[in-house]
Amino acid sequence: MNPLDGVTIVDMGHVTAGPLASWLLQPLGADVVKVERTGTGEGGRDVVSPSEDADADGYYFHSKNAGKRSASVNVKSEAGRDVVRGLAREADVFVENFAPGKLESLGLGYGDLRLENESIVYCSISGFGHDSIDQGQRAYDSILQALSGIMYVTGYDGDPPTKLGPSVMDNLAGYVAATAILAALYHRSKTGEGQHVDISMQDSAAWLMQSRLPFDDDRTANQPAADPYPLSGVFETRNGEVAVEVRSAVQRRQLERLSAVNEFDGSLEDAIAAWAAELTTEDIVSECTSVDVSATPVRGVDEVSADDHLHERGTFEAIDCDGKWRTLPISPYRTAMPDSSASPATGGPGLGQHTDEVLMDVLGYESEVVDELHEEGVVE
Amino acid sequence: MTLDITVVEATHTRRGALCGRLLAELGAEVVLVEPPDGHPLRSVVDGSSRAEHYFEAFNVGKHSIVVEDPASDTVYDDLVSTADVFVTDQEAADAGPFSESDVRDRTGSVIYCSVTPYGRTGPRKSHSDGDLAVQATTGITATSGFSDSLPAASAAPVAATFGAFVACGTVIAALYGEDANDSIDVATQDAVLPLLTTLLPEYFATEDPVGRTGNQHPIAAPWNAFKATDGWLYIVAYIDRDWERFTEAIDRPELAKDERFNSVSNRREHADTINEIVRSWVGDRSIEDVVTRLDEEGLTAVAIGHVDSAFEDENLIHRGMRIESDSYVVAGSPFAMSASPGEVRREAPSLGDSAGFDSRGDGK
Repeated sequence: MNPLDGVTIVDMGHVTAGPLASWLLQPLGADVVKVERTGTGEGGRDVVSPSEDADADGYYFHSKNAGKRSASVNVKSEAGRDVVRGLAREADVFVENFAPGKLESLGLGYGDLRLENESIVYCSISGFGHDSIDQGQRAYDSILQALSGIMYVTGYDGDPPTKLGPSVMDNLAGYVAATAILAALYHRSKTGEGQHVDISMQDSAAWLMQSRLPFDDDRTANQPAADPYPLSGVFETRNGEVAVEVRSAVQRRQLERLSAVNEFDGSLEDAIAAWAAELTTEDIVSECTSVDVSATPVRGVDEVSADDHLHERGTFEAIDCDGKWRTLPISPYRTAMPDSSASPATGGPGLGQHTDEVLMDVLGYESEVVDELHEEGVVE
Repeated sequence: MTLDITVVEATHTRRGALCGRLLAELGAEVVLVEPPDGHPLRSVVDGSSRAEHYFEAFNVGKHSIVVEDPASDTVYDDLVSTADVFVTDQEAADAGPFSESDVRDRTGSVIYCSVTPYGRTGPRKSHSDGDLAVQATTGITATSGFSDSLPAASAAPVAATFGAFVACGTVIAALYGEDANDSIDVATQDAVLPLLTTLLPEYFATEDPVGRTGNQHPIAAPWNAFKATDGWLYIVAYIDRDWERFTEAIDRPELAKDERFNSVSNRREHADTINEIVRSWVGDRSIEDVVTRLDEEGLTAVAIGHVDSAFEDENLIHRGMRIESDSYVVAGSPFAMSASPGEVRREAPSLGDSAGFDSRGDGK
């Protein structure tokens, strides 16, 4: 059995953190209904790739919305808001990541939807929290990286503070939200009580960064920051780069021996850098592995996407996205608890692809009413 | 509290310890099983106060028992046989004292959760690796940093943290679901793979390697880090309205009409020129000057901070995310929930502080 069989999630998320939270949970059996604005749909549909290649466009949306249904609703109309309130009555979970106050102004905040459904789990994701002293600050991933301290423990001496390429803070908030939603569903199953879950990117980033508090941020030529491990960093080899991680004094001595630091005029890091530059990545990995020191090739996106291990585990899967096969990551919540009864994954929905079935099956509207709503531009 | 359960945690790394910590925040009684010389996270750092602080970050809210030999320890056997959840992060989960078969021999009904770098299936199963390795092997390192510098590793435990949220979430899913799979196999690599979804489309469309763009956003400008007289700032002002306001803030309104910069895509095309313009304006001003001026226009600019300054932020403190004792600061719980909020309920345990922990009674 899938753990979330029978759970309905109404997803008013857009772009990253909101859609991500319900995407993480959908393969555990949840029925996820996206409610998107009429006309253009949610902003994630417009995310373009740096390659400016039409083939690349759409990938991002599918990667955050695979397996969901889409209902396109004009929430600027009272009838449209009625549709959302109706869905909230039938739903177990409601997810949104608008700026705090936005849905409240439409009468779709937690206080409003709780009147429709007392036991609803209403999850908001925002930059700094709904309970926040500064509602005005905008929360781009890069801004949260800048505020969190991560840019001073990433990269190397001589470089500016350095941000991670992937949107680590946007994503993390989605994971925190998904786990909090599971906790809230569990709480509801024991007590009958619903609640407002108020996830903040800033809180999530602080949780990620807390174990760096005891340390200085001094970066060196090869390692992002000296502690907690005796040495760890990235080194250039003859044919690429290798990440070396030393986790004990014994391992450090082994590396000193391998890199012949005693015959070298400089630090151990310099010695490893000189040693690594003479050898291939494969040689470094094999020499380090033989003495129980962790050494890993720095792999590009091309190598990651062709990784046998990830494909064998089902972490990557080829999925039919509207007639085009795309290789998409699968929710790690699913790969952690595989279930052979799970239905095969499908791509993200077309805008409003399921509007009518949602209105009729979930809300029980008659087809004439649905037609009227279409005519009035309330739904698409 | 959300979780009225007992968790036995047999871990030796950050990824497993963070999972135990999250479960404790949600109310579980988490008992850390330590060898006589203590959990490795107690001694990985030199210097006693720093070592203690480091251990706290991973273990606040837990209990501790010392187990010399799991095979013959009756207290351990008792504890495991009544546990609801068993969390381990040892790589070789197929055999040995903390393996699933050993744990299931003691109790049939437990939720068994392993948190490993690559999982318990696939060609790299059981392979031992730390956070840096998982970042490197999953494309995070290769896509971080500057194009003319080494790929940038991060000292933040990125993979361990994402893995811990997946582990905590799936444990709760197993508690929640009827007849759900109770054998959980978290790979921290699986947990961070979705971070690549901004970068994969470019590769799949072009099959060209995906490069690094440093602090510059790959498709928007201004969106970059800039150096002021007293430190670094991050500025985002790429949409039309923000760019217009930005040109006013720097007293060069003519740039708003300049055809090189009059749309998002044109600004992207001329990102280098835009970076020069911003750089020269920021370069002879202080962080405070820049932030104040841009703030007046409703623009987004922040000082790039260190982790200690992040924990002094007023809003973070307002949200209860700074937990302070006499000797250390750790984060509060990110599970801000109105009815059953996460909570840090006690300091990290001293070694063996709950020697007589009784999961059936009222644990110490």
